[in-house]
Amino acid sequence: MFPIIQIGPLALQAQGLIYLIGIWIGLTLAEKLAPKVKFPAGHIWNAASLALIFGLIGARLSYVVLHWDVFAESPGSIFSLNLQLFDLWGGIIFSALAILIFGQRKHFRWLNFFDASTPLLGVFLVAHSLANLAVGTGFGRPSELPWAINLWGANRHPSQIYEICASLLVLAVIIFLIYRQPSLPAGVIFFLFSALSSTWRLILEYFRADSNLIFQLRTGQVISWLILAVSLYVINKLFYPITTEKG
Amino acid sequence: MHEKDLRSLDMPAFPHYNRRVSQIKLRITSLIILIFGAAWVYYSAVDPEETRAWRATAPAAGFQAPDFELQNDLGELVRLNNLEGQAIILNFWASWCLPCREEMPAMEEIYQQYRQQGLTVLAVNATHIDSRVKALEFAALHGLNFPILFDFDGKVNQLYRVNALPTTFFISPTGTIQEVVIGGPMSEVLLRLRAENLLSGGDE
Repeated sequence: MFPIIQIGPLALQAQGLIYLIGIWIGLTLAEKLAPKVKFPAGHIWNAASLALIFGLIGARLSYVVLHWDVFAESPGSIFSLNLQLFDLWGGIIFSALAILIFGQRKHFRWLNFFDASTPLLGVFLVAHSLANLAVGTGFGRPSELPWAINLWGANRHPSQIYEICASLLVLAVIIFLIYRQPSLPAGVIFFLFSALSSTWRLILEYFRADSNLIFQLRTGQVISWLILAVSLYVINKLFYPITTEKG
Repeated sequence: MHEKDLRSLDMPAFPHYNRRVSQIKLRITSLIILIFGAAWVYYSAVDPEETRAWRATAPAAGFQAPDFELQNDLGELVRLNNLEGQAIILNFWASWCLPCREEMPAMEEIYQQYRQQGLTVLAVNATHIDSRVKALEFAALHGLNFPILFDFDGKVNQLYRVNALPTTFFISPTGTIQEVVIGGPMSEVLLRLRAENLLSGGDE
């Protein structure tokens, strides 16, 4: 575990640094691969910048609205730098809206856009698993296996390392397909990534000790199964669209 | 043979037939994956009591807060486990640490506002890299009324794996760490929201 990276007098939080580097690498990779999925490379950074700006604004606005009674007493805190005062879902909705409006104005072909964004999402998942390893979150259930790691007072499955390997493998498959299978229908890259990522999450969640539960089932697995079902359904439709025969 | 006769052999139907077979294969594969997935979800089901046992005691969110005993500003020993039933904001700080100093007035404000409802602030001074005298001077200057504890040998900082100052642990009345905030200064709004959450038993 290395939650803080000390550079001279400067203490940097490893988690934030890993996410930043991950997003930068992901965007660079997505921009490089975009022409191969028939999407203009220049739109990637523009869409990402808009998503970031509106995501941050939306996440803070949403948090303020949800806790207005407290913020009303000290309105200056609306501009607080505390990262804990952001609402994740508010950020996601605002980001999505920003991309939607930008895409409509630039006449995006949405399935190609999803494919072009996939390398970014792939790298982000690797970064997320690395960040979990850095700060010790997403920890595994106790285990006596020879490769168990000692974390939080027990020998545990190295669930973060499993997830790093799985997300790297999925990223490699996606990059391979983008390079070697240019004739795939638009959208297949994205939904295949979605199916593969939800599959590894479905499998590897079993080894985690921090799962939220819903009727004794692990919430992460239930959500992953639903995403997997939707992804497989869409992949079927993309490969074999319903055609009306004219005769 | 005439062209018409060739068509009657259904030759052009083969590509359509192959496509149909591939489509059915993909559907069956998808279905098998989903069935295995559902079985795995069911197999992975776990008793909430068992997951609690996996998270016994450690300085991380979701775990029981490790117990310790430290001297306060009056020379009395304060033990964490004796405060069970109270919501606790456990703050690690030093008098030379700027963000620590900046968040202390907000900490005092929250302590005054919620202490009657069962909130305690424990400010553990990293005395092994600070000075008791300077810590007390700072507390007097800002009129801090919550307990200042002194970690002379740094063992409690080590126990809580404090790598940066300030670091704050929000501990529920049942002794579970709800959140760890590394760095600062924390705004009064953040402290107020977390204090209310602790007292309402949220995220248990």
